[in-house]
Amino acid sequence: MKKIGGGLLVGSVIVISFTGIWKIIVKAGTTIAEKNKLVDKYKLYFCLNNKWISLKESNKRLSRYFVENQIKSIAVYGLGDVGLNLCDEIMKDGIEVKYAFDGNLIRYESLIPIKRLEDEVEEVDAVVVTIPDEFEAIKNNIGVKFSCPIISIDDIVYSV
Amino acid sequence: MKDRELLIAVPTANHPKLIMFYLAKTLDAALKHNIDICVYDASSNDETEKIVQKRISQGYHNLKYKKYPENTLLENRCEDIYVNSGYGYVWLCGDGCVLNIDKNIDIVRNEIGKKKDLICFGCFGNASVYADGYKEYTNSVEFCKECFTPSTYFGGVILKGSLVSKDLFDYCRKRYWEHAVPAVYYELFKDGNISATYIHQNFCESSVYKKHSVAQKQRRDIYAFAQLFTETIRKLPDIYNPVKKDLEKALGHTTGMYSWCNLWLMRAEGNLNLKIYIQNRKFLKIASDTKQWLYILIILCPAKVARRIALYLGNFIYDI
Repeated sequence: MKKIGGGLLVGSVIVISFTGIWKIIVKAGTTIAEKNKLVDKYKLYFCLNNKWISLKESNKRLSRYFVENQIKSIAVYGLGDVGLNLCDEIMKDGIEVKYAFDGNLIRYESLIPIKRLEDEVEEVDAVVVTIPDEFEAIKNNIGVKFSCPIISIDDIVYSV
Repeated sequence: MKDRELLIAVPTANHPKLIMFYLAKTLDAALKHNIDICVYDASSNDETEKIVQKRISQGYHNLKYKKYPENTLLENRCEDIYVNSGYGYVWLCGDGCVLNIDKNIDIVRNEIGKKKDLICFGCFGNASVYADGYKEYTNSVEFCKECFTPSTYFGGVILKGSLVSKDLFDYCRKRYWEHAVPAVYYELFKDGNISATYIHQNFCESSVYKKHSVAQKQRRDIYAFAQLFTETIRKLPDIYNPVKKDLEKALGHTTGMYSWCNLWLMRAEGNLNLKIYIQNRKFLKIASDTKQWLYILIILCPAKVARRIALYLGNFIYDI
């Protein structure tokens, strides 16, 4: 009886250990995949901002893109660093940023009204998405709401 | 550069984002150094054309565009590039291989000034082997032995524009199929004489938007590298016979294609499975040093597990 009990105990310990190790391995794989995704994201942002800086060095403005495409008013999706830099630059050149969508609704006290996707909003000439790594998903999400072009920030920066 | 001295030729098909990024990174430098860029486009829609035409309208008079019917083979466009471009030198470049023109222009100008037939860039092998970071060649067999792998990269070779005739390219296309382009370099110099320079330098960066090659997306990676390259090497002119055995494994050694780490990645992405292994087994034995039992072990592993192992080994995995 003691032997059986001892065997059961050892067996349980082994099973629990393997289960624990397996869970760690699975979690490690998920974590690595998430980190890799972040690396790719920041590579995109690095290249984007690198190009943006070189545009500034050669006195090229992002507003040129909007002028060439007859876009006078826009909405911005994503009002993080990239979104704010975009708005700062183009508003100085007379492009109207009517409103923005951002998850952090109460974070900004800005001249740009922050809206939710569910809100009724005015028509704009274009919506600019400032999150290049999630552009396709965002475009599919908001495409039903807007009939105007939905443009990614990298299309703008790499076209000027 | 003098007018029409150097052309950067970029064949592309249905990669508008890659072209947009490529032009954003290279146009200003190309304009500054009087280098022309031409996009040879076989896309099924006009997205790439719009991007290029917009750039031309912005004042980039050094940018050219040529449209082909959809699905025009890459070799056909390359023939047009090498035979009909009319430039002193042609730098054939992939749309995902973004040239660093400012970094390389002085070297390129210097070698063009020496009237070299071929200038090859690469960053394979031990840099200390190359005094001053480069090596000049007058013997095509020696060049083939040492520079075969970098010469197969789209972006690694600048070729004198007047060298390739239509007859030669047609011959290479019929004989070497998809590898007509690298084969042309060795058919051209089959008399043993070449005036070439290999420059040990990283000449480009990979586009952030490029995740897979065309061969990887079509799950033809092993077929393209093991079978096609082996057949190409074997078909090269007889003058290269002394080095063909070395070339067979050269690609694997220099690129790490058949390394433990990369095989798990290929398994995870669907570029290595039982069917692919059986079809290419003979050529895998020739092209790689990896033991056959390792291939079997990896193939028998479920793709989900292979994906996890590939991650642990430091690979980035993108869905095809």
